[in-house]
Amino acid sequence: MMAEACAEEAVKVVGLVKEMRGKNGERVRVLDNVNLKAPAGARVAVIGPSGCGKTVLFKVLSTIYAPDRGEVKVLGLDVVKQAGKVRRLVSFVSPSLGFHKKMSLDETLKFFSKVQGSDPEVAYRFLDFIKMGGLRERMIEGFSEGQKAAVRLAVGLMKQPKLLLLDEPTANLDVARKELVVEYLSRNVEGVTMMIVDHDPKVVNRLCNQAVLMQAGGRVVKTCDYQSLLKSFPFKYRFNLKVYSGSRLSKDAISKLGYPFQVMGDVVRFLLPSREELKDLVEKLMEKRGPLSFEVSSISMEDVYYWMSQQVKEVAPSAAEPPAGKAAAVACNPRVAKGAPA
Amino acid sequence: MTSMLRALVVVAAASRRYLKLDLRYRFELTVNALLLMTNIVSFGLMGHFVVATNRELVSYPYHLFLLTGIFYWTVVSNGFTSSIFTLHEEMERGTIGFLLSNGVSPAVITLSKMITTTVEALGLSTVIAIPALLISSGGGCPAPPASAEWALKLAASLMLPWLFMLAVAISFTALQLVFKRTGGLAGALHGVLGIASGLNFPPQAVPLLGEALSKLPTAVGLRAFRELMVFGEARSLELTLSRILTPLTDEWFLVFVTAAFLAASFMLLSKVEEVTRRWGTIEQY
Repeated sequence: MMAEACAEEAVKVVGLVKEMRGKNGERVRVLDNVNLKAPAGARVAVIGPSGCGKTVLFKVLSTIYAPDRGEVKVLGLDVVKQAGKVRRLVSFVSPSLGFHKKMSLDETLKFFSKVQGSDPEVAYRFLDFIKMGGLRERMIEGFSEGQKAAVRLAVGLMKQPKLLLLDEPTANLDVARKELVVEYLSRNVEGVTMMIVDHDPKVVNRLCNQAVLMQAGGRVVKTCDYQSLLKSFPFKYRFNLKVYSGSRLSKDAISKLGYPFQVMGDVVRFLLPSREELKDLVEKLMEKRGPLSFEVSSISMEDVYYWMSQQVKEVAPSAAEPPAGKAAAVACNPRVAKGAPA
Repeated sequence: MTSMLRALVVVAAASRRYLKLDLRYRFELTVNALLLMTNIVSFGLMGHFVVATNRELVSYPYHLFLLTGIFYWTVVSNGFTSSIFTLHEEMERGTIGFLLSNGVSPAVITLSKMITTTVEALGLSTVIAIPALLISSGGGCPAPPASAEWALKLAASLMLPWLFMLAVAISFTALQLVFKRTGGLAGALHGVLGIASGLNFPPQAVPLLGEALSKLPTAVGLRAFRELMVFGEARSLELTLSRILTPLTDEWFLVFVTAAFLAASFMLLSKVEEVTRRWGTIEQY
C-alpha cells in the first residue's frame, strides 16, 4: 500500500463524467469529460466560476460520490475499487461540515479524531499557531463563522492525509487569521498534495504552484503549472488606473481605448502585452479627463487568477461550446477579453 | 478485524457524544421523564378501569400489564425514533459526507444514538417505572430476580428485540438516504409496532393476525418480560438450543427473525449507500 500511496501522480483523472439526480429524477451533468493530473506534492488551485463542479470534483476524489464514467485514481488507488484505502489517505475540508453547538472545541476535536483514527495534537498545534488554542473549553455555539472555518481546517489537518482537499478554507476568516492560516499551510504542511478552491486570489497565489481551470458545465479548460502559465500569459504588464468619483470616464469610453480591462471599485485594471501598448495607453489617457493616478507593474499570479476567473465566466456553457483545447486558446486571446473590442 | 475495532471505537465515541449532548438539554430530559410518568399514570388508571376482553391472555391485573408494557417499550423502542430524527439532524449538519470520506457508515449514527437513548430510557424507566410498579402492585411486582436463568431470559427478552428494532432503524436509515425525511413514517411504524407487539393488549386478541403478530420478536420479548416482572419467571420462553433451532417456535422467531432482519437491513443500507453515491444525493437532506 505504501508503494501505491507514493505514486508519482497524486491525482489522475481521465474522462470523468459525473451526473447528479435532479428534482424529477432527470440526470444533470456536473462534470463532463474531466481530465487532469496532479503530481505528488503539488499544490493545485482549482479555479472556476461558482457552480462549475469544483466541489463535486472534490467529492468524487474523496469518494463521497461515485463517478459515472472515467478513471479516477488518488495516489495510485482507484476511487471505486479501492475506496476504503483512498479514504485513509484523503482529507476533504468542506465548508458544509457543521458542529454540535453544545460541544466544546476540545470535545469536538476529540470526537472527530476518533472518527478519523487520528491524533488531536496535530489540530491543537494548528489552532495554537493561529491563536485559537485558548478556546479549547469554549462551546462551539460561541464561535464565529470564521472560527468554525478554522476548526474545519483543524479537523482536516488532524488526519495527516496524503491528499488534502480544501474547499474554501479561508472563507469568513478575518484578515489576521487568514494570514496565519496561509502561513501555516505554506510552511508546516509538508509532503502533502493539496488541491484548493478559494475565491481569494491572494490565498491561491501564495499557496499554489499549479492551476486547474474549470468552466461552467463541469469541464476542465486547462491544467498547468504557475510558471509556465506566467510565461505563456499573453500580458506582461498590469496598469492600474485610479479615476476620481464623478469622472466622465465611462465604461464605454474606457472600452474605446481598445485594451482589455476590469473595473474594481474606483480602479480600472488594464492588462497589456508590451511596452508599446503601455505607451499608447498612457498617451490616450492623457487626452482624457478623469484619471487621478496610475500604477504600472509586472504581471503576478493574482492577475492571472483574475484573468482566468474572468475568462471562464465569459465562456458560457452551450451546445455550440468549443472543445476544451479551443476554449483554452480562447482564454489566452487578448482580443476577446472583457471590454476589449473583438 | 482492525476495521471492526475501529467501528466499535467510533460507535463508543459517538454514543458518548450523544449522551453528553442529551444531558446538556435538561429541559428535554425532564419532559421525557414527565411523559413517561404521564404514560404510567394514564395507563395505570386505564388498567384499573378497563377489563381485558381476553381474560385468559392476561391472568394478572390489567394495569400491571400496561405498566410493564410501557417500561419495556420505552427501553426497547425509544432509540428507534430518536435515531431517525438524529440522522436527519446529522445530514443537515454535513456529517454524512464527513463520515463517508473517513470510511464510516451512516449506520454508526443510528446505532450510537440507539445505544444512548436506550441507556437514558433504562435509567429513567428504572427510576420511574419500577417504583410505580411496586406501588401499584402492593410490592409484588417486579418479582425479585430468582436465578441466572431469570437474568439470561431478561437479557434475551430485552436485547434481541432491541436488535430487531435496530434492524428496523437501519432500514429506515437506508430509506432516509433516499427519501430524506421519514420521521412521520417512522413515528407511525413505531405506534403500529407497539400495538402489534402487545403494548396495549395481547396481540393474540387481534382477529386473524393475532397468531402471526405474537411471533414478532418484540411481541415474544414483551411477553417474556411481563412474565418475568409479574411472576418472576418467563413461562412462555424456553432458551434451549432445541427450541431455538426448531422452526416457528417463539424462540426461533426471536433469534432467527432478528438475525435475518439485521443482516437484510445492513445489506439494504450498503446497497442504498452505493446507489445514492452514484446519484450524488447521499449528502442531501
